[in-house]
Formats: sequence, C-alpha cells, structure tokens
Amino acid sequence: MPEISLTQAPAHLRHGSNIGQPLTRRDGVLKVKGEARYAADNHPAGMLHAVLAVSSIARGRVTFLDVQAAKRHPGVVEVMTAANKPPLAEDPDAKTNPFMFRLDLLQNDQVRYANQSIAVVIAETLEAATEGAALLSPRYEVLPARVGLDAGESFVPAAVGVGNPSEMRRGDVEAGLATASKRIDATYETPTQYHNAMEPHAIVAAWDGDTLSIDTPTQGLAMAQGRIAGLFGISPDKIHIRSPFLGGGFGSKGLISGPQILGIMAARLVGRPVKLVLRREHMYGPVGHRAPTRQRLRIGADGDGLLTAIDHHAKTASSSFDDFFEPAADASHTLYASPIATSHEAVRVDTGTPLFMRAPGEATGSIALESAIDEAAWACEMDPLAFRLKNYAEVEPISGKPFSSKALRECYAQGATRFGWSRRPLAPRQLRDEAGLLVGWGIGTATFPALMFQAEARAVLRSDGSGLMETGAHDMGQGAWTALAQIAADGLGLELDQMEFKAGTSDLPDAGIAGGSAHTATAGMAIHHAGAAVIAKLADLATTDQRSPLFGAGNAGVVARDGRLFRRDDEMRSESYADILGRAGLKEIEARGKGAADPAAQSTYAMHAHGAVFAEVKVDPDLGQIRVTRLVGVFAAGRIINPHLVRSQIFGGMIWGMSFALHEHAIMDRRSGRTLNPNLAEYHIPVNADVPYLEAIMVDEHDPHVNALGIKGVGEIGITGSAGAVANAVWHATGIRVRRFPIRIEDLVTPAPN
Amino acid sequence: MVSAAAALRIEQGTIRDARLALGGVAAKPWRARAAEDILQGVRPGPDAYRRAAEAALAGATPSGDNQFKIELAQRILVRALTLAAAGTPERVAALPASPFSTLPGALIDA
Repeated sequence: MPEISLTQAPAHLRHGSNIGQPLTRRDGVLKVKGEARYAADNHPAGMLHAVLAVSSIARGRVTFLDVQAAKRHPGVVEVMTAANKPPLAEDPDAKTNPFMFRLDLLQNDQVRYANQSIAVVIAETLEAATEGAALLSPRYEVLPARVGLDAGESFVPAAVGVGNPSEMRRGDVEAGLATASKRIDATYETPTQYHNAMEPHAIVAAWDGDTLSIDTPTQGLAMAQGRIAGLFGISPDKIHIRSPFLGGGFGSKGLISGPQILGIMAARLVGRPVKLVLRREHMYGPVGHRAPTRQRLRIGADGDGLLTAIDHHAKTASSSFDDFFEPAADASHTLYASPIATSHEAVRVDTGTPLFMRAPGEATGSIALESAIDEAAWACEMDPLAFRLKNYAEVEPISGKPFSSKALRECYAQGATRFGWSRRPLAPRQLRDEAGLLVGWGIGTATFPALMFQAEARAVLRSDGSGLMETGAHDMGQGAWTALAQIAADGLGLELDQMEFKAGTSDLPDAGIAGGSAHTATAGMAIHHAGAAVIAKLADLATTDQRSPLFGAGNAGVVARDGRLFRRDDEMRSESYADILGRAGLKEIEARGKGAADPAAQSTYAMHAHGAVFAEVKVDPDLGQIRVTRLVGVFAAGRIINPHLVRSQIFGGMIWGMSFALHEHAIMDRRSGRTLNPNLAEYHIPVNADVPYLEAIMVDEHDPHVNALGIKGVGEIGITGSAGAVANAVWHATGIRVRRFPIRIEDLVTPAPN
Repeated sequence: MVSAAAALRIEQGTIRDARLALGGVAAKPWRARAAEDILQGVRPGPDAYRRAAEAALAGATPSGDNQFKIELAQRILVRALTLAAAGTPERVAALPASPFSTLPGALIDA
C-alpha cells in the first residue's frame, strides 16, 4: 500500500469527471483502420514461419515421422521433434503452483490427446512450413481413447476450480428434501465447449543471446514471463513481452500455452526470429476448453413455495495428466435461500486439459440451476419470477455472510417492467405469434463473484503539468485501454488528454491477470492508489512550502482536479502541478500503488454482482426450429467506469449465454477421441443474424466494501442467467423441458420421455 | 439438418403430378418416388401430405444418432407440400430456416 491511502475519502471527492463517462474505446480508430498491431502482425527481419504438426490420435505414441521428407521440401529450414528440441531448464510437467498447468513440449513420443503437438516445421514461408508439416506423415502406436463422462472410474477431486472444496454444505439438505411437499430431481448435461477467440494463439519470438523478445497475446503478462523464465532458465527481466491487443481471450490466453512455448523453442533452435500461429483446428486441444458436465439437481419446496433444499451434484472430466475441474455445482452457493449441498466427481479422459473458460463453473452451473429452479417453480404452480423473489437470499446461503451490496430486486423489477413479464401466462405452450409460431418467455438469475487479484501501477507527474500512468494491463477487447485510463485520469486529477496511459507490455508494473472479471477492479485500484500516492507527494511539496498558496493546508487537505491542487476548505486557494514542481526544481515525481482485495472486508461480506435476464423465443411447432427474439438483461455490478463499454461487455456475455443454450457443442468422436467439428463452420456460434434485439441495463449500485472505487466485474456475469433464461423460454414455448444442452431441434421434434 | 423440395401440378383441385426430393437423409439427394405416386390424383390437403411423407420415409433406417431425422423429414415434407400447394408467393422468402428471413411469420418460409 502507498504511504498515504485515500481509500477512506468519500468516493465523490476525486472521481466523476472521467469515471462514469461513456467514452468510445480509445483504440477504436486504430482497430478500424487496421493499425492496431496484434501479435501475428509482427515480422522482424529474418523471421521464419513455424507450423505445428499435431497428433491425429488421442492416446498412444508417435512411432515415426518422415523428417527427411519434410526437410527436403524447398524452403523448409528445420524440423523440431523430440529428438532435437532445445533443452529446457524445467520439466514442463512439473507443477509448483496451482496456476501451473502441464505443457506438451516435445519431451517424448507420448500422445495424450488429439491435436497435441508432435513436431514443429520451420520454414522460410508459411506455405513451405505447412507443406513440410503435412509431409511428416506420422505413424502411431494407438491406444483406445477414453471419451466422455462415462469413460472410466470416477473419483472425487481434491479441489475444484482454483482450490474450492469439492464438497460444501450448509443446513440439512436431506431433511429438507424429506419434508418437502414438492420435489425436483433432474439431471442436466452440458457439452464440451471451446473458447474460439477470433485471434488464434500466436507468437513471434526472437532471441538475442539469452534475452528474449516476444509478441504474443496474453491475459497475464507477468505470469507468462515467469513461466517462460522457468522453462528456459533465464531471469524474467531478460524477457520482454508485448501484448497490446488481444483478439479475445476468454480464459484461453490466461496462461501461456504449449504451442506458444514451442514458438520460442523453435526460435532458439534455428537462431532466428520465428512466428508460430495456431490454425483454427489446432485450438481444439492444447489451449484449454470447458469440460462437459452432468449435473443432478434435487430441489425441495414446501407448500408455500419456500425452498427446503438444493442439492447440486456435478460430474465433470479432466485430462489424463492434469487437474482442472469445472466447479459447476458451486453456482448454487449464492443465489437462493435454502439449505444447500454441493458436490463434484470427475473422470479422466484423453483430451487436452480443460481450463478456465469465461465464467468457469458459473456458466455450466447456472444453466442447470436456473432450469431446475424453473422446474421447481412450475411444480409449485408459481410464476418463476415470484418463486425467485420468494426465495431471495438476504444473506449468502452457503456462508451466511451479508452481501456487500445486492441490488438484485431492482434488477428483477426493472427487467420485468422492460420485458412486460406481467403478461406471461403461467402454463407453457400458451402463446403464439401472428404466424402461429410458439412463443415462450423465460427468466434466469445472473451472478458472478466480485473478485480481486493483485496488481501494481506507477504514476508520474511532470513539471510540464502532464502525467503518466503505467501498469501492464491487458486489453482483450473489453476496453481496458479506455476504462483504466479513465480511472488513471481521475487518480492523477488530470483530463485524459493531459496524461499518458501505458499498458500491455511486460516491462510495466505487474497488473495481475485479466481474468475472473477482476481486471478493472484490481488494476483500477492499483492505478487509484498510485495516483493517490503521487498526489500525496505533490501535496506535501506544496503544503510545506511557504511560497505556495497551499502552505499550511496539510491538515485541511487538498483536492486534485484539472491539473491543480485545491485547498479542500477553500477552493479559492490553489496551485497548478507545473508550478509546484517547477518551484521545487523537480522534473517529475513518481509513486507506486497496489491493488488487492481487502481481507477484512472479504471475511465479513459476500461479494457478488447480480442480474436478471429475460428471454423470448419463438419455436416452429412442427419443425422445432428455435429463434431467440428478445433478450433483456438488467445487472447490478457496483460502480460502472464506462457505461458504453460495459454495455458491450454485457451484450457479449448475453450472446455467450444464448450460445450456451442453443449453439455451442464440440462433438467428440467416441472411437478416435478427436473433435469432429474443430472449425467455425461446424462448431456453432451465433452470428449477427442469430442475435436478437438485446437490451442491457445497469442499475445503480453503491458498494463501499468491494474496493474504494466500488467496482465489481462485468466480464463474465452476462453468460450466467442468460443461458437459463433462454432454456426456460424454450420450455415455456413448447412445454418440453430439455435437459441436455445445447437444445437441439431433435429434442423438440422427438422429445425424450420426461 | 433435413431439407425438402416439392413441386405440384394441380388441376381442378386435384394433384396431377408431384415431384419430391429430400436432402440430408442419405449420401445423395433422395427422390421420394413412392410419395409422388401417392399424391397423384388426390386432392391436396394435410392428410394426403402426411400419407405421402410417411411413404417417403417408409424404408428409412437411422444410422447412429439420427433417428430423429425420420420424423423431421416427414414434417419437412408436409411443410414443403403445404407451401407448394399454396403456389409460388409473390415475394419469395429467404431459404427455409434462414435467419435472414424477413417476412413476418417465419412459418411461411420455414
């Protein structure tokens, strides 16, 4: 923490001029002009192209690669295999912290999943490298692939997500179920999903001795730097990573992946800069995915519609060689007042290791929980919104802690009004449009924890009156360049055009990770504290100098605004930054600040963002074709730094939610363990024509506990609630409860027996 | 997933000639000759379409996970015949099931 922390000052004192403004993204013009330089746009002199050769089997070993044929191909410079790869300083299968995942870096001939890298071909051109990879014609010793949730013995993981207990309970669920007058016992299935960021994982790596220069998209610059340093046995400060823009990450770029490291190894092997870009189909394996789940929900309610029990059990899958367990059942911890029990089990399958994918656990769990709550409401013959309000959690159900803030009632009320929910008939299959299509209305509750990690920022004030704020933050398209600059401008008491904001490179202070919907809060608080600290230094210069109009204002304090310090109790007395620094003979002053969660507040309060999503679908009664026609989401997520960018973020999340309910499904070949649809033609995601009229409304929420700026996250919450709302709308339209996602035409044309 | 094309020649309220083809149900486009024969000489209407659709899929067997296509194909055929009997619309809609459909009421073109 800085020496002087202004976190106790009322928030309005130094904020509001930039924070809260709906600015368009500051990097927007660069992007529309094609001038924003993404990793793969970099072409250093002498650069070679590397292409992965990947395994077409899911389990076994490589017995032969025709390296000679590849090398004979004109333009091919080198073929990197297990036989000639440069040595690593660390076993890529070693795990020394929970954020370390095992990487496949050509250490042996073993194949652990389809699309695992088995060689890298390096050539003068992309075409030559691609052809060289094809010429390798690998042969394998094949073992049977373990595919799907019934692949083998299931076990209880030691932890799910990041260190969450696998099982949790509060209250007596069995007693609650036994005494319930209405009971739901339903099993829901969610599929394997892939992040499919528009920008594939890419790296341009150049070695100069033991100094390494890298362009690669990452959601965590410092963690990537640390991982690379460990693997190559060099000091992190020898590694310079540039990651100014990401074409989407969604968690798949949170930790540096195997193929990116292979690009660095290839550059070391050939002694020239190397570019390696994943092909779309290569992204279905080594860069993470959302594991499938099978979730059983048992819910009890009494005669008044009060919940007596929620028992949420989730089965999921991890890879054969590493641990990541989608914490799906944990979604039931926070929303509804009831005795709660959650538990997980898992199997091991021959896939790449699943990883964090936008709202990991929350998204998978939410669609099952929200469907089950809807089923319970129907069993109680209650309107699903009224049922949710009846069981509104005034304290966090799993912990009993009060919420730091929770404007969910407001979300329900505003959303219901905007949507016209009061006109909804209780029973399904009652609404038709003018053309005879079935119409259904559904609701889902959204929730996501308000997390914070750790970040640092550096603030500078210069004698010309300008300022600088630096933090190694990451803009994945969510708008960090803009929102964090807005916080920085307010922190420095300057207008945006009077200050410079630097982010996106590894030589800047560590901004933590752009994940967990925590980047704005974490990096924002670091910026806020750095600004406060540098202003405190400046104030000290002024208030102790007899020549300053602010002399002696040390007790009254000063306010920083528009490049001037004002005496707090007498705004007629002020002095510009330039004058203060000039008189002190200083060219610039600097200070650092940190952002981190406040453990005292965290132990006292449950901290979550909330929302309510209302969906309308239309279904062809004969053909089962589903179209989402309206989505209205109302969210409460603390202070909104930039309403324009937040709305876009929420839109994106809501579209992901609808995609979860109706589109995304990676289909695994049960015989080979390969993904059958590893491309954007057959792995369905919504295109513009699929996306309906969307509304995203943010309700005011002042949260004095999450952090001094009152920021919660908005990156992931949009998926939760939305997926269930769409699924519930399909039920309301058709009367058919589909419990396997995505909901398909066949589920409505030939429904499974209920 | 499944597609159908239908052409009907209707004279004095009776189907004189019918052509039916299905897509997405075999390794090639599938002409439903048995269904065409059923329609010949009958009055157009839901019962006739359903009988024709059942005949078109009479020998169909699923492979793998596509049992539903047999029912879906019959429903698509009924829809295609219904649209064909209604005549070529003044404004031809986007392809059936297209999200680009702009005519009110996607039933018309789905």
